[in-house]
Amino acid sequence: MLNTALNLVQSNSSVLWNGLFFTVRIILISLLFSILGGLFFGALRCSSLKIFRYSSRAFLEFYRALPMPLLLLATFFLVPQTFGLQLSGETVAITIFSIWGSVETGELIRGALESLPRIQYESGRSIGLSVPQLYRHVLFPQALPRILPSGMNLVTRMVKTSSNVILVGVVDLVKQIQQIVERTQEPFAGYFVLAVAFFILCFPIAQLAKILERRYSSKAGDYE
Amino acid sequence: MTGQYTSEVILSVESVYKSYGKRSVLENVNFSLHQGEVLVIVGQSGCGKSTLLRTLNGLEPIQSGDIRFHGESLVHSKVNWKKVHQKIGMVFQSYDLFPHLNVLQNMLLGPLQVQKRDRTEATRQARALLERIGLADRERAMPRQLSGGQKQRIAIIRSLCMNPEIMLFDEVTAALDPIMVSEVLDVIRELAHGGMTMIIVTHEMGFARAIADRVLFLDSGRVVETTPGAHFFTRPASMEAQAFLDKLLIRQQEVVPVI
Repeated sequence: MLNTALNLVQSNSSVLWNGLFFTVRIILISLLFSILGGLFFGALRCSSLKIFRYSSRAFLEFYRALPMPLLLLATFFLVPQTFGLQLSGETVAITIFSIWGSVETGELIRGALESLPRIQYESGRSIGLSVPQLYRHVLFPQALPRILPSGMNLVTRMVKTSSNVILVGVVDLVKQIQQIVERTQEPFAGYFVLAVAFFILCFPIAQLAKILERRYSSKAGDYE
Repeated sequence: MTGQYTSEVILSVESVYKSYGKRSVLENVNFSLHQGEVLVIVGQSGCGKSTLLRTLNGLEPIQSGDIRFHGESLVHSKVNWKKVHQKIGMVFQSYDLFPHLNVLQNMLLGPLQVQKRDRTEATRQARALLERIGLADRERAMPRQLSGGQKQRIAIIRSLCMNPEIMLFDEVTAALDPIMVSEVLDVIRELAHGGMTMIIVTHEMGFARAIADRVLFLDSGRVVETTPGAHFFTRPASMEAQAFLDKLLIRQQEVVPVI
């Protein structure tokens, strides 16, 4: 089977690269938006204003409750119908993943911010830092290392969830493999290649998460 | 005791009430702080000392009354806290250095970000202050590499880098072991001799006695007396203060065996 798999990769390499390219591109762009959106969403979740705190919480719970295929399909079919806007499958996928990533990153950031000692907030304020300065220079630099390990887990989740994009017609790695399997009638070899590809994408990230976790947990005792 | 303060009032606290829910913490607190004065606040744990200090810096809201800094009220929503925080420095009980920044970066954050000062000039001031407390060689050290006493001394001079008019000290030695206490108190003492206006909350009675121009005695959130430092420890005006001092004296005798 290994031979079949290798043959399959060799004879379809350009198609496979193409699929991989789409998968990775969707993930990378979504990640970038997730980090930016996550900082914003995390700050909202910690806001001293109840309206921001509660509305962001409501949005979070709502978004988490809905399955990813539903979000993708609903956006893909309802937005053009309702607003007359033509969206490509990739745009829909990036939008939905970005919002999902922002919400989840925001939650990680909130947790990390809340775990910082109150004194950090107070002593920052008492040297006259404004709230944005306080976040930028004091709170985020301390919170971000704490979310790196769980952030990496989020990335692997996003890689795996990306396979949902076939629902909205994006020809990613999964779809390419599916087509190859249909053409060659070699399901074992085909899906074996897919499994290996996802393993290669996720395993290094998971390892990085472990390393970061070890490194930052040994530093966690710095606060007194 | 420095005895060099003037009659100019720079901070006044007028009929301040504060409560957490139904429990009242400060009741009708009144006092004024003069230019160059060292005011020491003493009282039993939980009497509202720290809370009082924190209200002066906007960290705790009050329910009624007024706090005036140079005649301007600090008790409304439009206070320019950024400006006030530069003028009123505060050092806390727990180590409050920023753990991700080294000593010099800790000291420069306020001057550069808040006051937008020139880096060279601010660095010169920071280094001079480090020199004064004998830690000139530690400017690149991270807070986790410093002892508790070193951290507190740097927290103090970090505040001084902002050139404040008033310094507030909230039990800054409470978390330190005895040997480190004195090195921190020495820094504060030197500041007092330099004419810095300050309010100190402390449990170190010997230090309070040596440094206080006036002592404010708090009991259950009320100011029982405000007495010149020299008098408070020998003949306090109130029964409550007398009882407080007696209790301390007995405890000290229990701790230090008489041979």
